[in-house]
Amino acid sequence: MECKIYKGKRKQDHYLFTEADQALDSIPESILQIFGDLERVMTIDITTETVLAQSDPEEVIRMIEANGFFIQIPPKNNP
Amino acid sequence: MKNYTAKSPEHDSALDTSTKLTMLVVDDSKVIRLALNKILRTDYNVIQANDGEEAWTILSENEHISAVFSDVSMPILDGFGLLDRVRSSDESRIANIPFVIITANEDDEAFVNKVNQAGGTDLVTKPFKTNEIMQCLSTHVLTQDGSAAPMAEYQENKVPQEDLMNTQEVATLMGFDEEPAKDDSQHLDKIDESMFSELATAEQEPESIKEELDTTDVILENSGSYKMSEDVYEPSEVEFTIDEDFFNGLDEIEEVADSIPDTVNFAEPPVTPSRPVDNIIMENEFTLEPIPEPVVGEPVAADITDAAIDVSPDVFTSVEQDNRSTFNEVDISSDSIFSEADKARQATETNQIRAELMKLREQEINKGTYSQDLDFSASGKISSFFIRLKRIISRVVGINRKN
Repeated sequence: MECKIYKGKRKQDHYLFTEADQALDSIPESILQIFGDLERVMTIDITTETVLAQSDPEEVIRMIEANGFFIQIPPKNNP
Repeated sequence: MKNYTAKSPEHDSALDTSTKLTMLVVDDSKVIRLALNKILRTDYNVIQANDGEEAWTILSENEHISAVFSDVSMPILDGFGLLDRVRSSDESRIANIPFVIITANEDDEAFVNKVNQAGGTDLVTKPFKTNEIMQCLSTHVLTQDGSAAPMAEYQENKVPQEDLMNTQEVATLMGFDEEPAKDDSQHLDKIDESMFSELATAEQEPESIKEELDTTDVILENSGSYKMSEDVYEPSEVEFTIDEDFFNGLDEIEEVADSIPDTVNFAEPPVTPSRPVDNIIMENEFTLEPIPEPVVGEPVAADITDAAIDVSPDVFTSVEQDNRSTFNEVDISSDSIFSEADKARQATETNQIRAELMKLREQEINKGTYSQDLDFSASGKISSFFIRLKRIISRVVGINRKN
């Protein structure tokens, strides 16, 4: 699944994953408000084999398919 | 991993590795990457990566990289993940590479300890300054002949006028139809937000946005005003407001001042200013003190009355003390029109003002009411400061004209 990854001005260490061809206006307004203005970080092709250091790729794909987005939050042990 | 489709600027471009060291800049913020690129590119080759995973690929393939500047928060592989891979590498050139963490956690002791334990070489805090980056490299990176990496001479917090002029151009390009804001920083905030929105929604980054980013980051960097996120960025100690009126006023002052000699020798024909000054406010001219009869042949300094020097402490508010560099520049620009005694008196007054401003600033900081936003509101006061300075000049010019 080709995904776009965004970061928000309000949540610098949170990331919003969406399907690449998905318009942002399909993301719930409440989610967009949490992030604030979004900056696209990168586009990445995620498969079940993709190594994501902070998330399970299968969960990312499943959440995007189910909800239209996946939010990656920083690990709790980050200072 | 080769499945990135995001742009990796300069990744594949030819690098001049024979004369320049190569730096790898890793940050998911394009503005930060461009800012570092701008700082480094004069003396170094710069390769950019927008995530730790991409940086690792580049680092593994490019043996010319001499140091890494890396952000912490990145979506796929974060800064600590990258650092861990680097320090665990079997290749000594990678395992021992200087690795500088870029962070907003300035005073977080736990974070600093974590960086040290992870093997980070150094830590640079956002918003960073040019000389911090260059000093960092000079300390940790050696050139091939064993000498320290180049430490270029940079002037901090000086915004080139041509860049300031570009802010209006940038605003126009970005579609701001309203009158330009008095404060450049307001422009930058608007541009910043709009820029991110466009980047977030654009299918492909238009070249125009890239150019605007390029211009904007210079202004942000030079003004010390990286203010991308209210959560992360805090005002630095030396942030100050750059007001377009300031430069317009400075132009006028310098133009007029250049046309006036330090002193007027009355044995010679009087010097007429080359530039008309009719548009300068000539208030209170009737209060001019009688001009002493000059001794023929002896230079006489232009007289400035107490009334004319109307730059009293109450002109400034506590939020303007960070504009003290502005005051310094005015001092310099007006050197040619003040006599030694006047300059001494002005210096005394300036020091008093500075002391007062510093005291007020400390109070603001202690009360927790000091903020960058307050700095922005000071621009109007700067304008009034220049109006007063114009009056000073008009008096001097008036004296010269009469003689």
